Amino acid sequence: MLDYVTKVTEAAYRTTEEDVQKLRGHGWTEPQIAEAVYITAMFAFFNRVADAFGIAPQGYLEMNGLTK
Amino acid sequence: MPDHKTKIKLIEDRDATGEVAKVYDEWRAKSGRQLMPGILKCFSHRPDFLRQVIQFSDTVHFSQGHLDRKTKEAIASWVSWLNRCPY
Repeated sequence: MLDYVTKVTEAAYRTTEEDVQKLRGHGWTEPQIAEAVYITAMFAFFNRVADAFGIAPQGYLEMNGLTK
Repeated sequence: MPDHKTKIKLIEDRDATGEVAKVYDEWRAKSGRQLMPGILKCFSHRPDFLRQVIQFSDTVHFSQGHLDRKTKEAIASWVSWLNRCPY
């Protein structure tokens, strides 16, 4: 699934029916695949707005001791 | 704590008035948090749109759907990394 959303993020126009068939083969349902696309596209939207405004990271990683 | 200087000006919590203040108050009351997250303040120039952004985020992302919350967060984090978004 992450391979698929990577392709949707970087080159959605290059995704194919085979890509989707592979996901079905892994057990993902049509509604789940569709929702994964919604989330992927939604975060493309939020990421661009956040980067364009230049808002500060929220420090969630530091809060959870996940960064040095 | 001094506000982080953003490339495009946005309306901070304490400066919000009118409709922006109203939407901020609604979100704080609903979330139980004291301060608006940065991403939502980015939409403060259009509080009508901000209300819709909050709504569709709740509908698609911050809820159990066809995908569970963990899967949604994994996709969101991975995509945000691909998009070079530190936020």
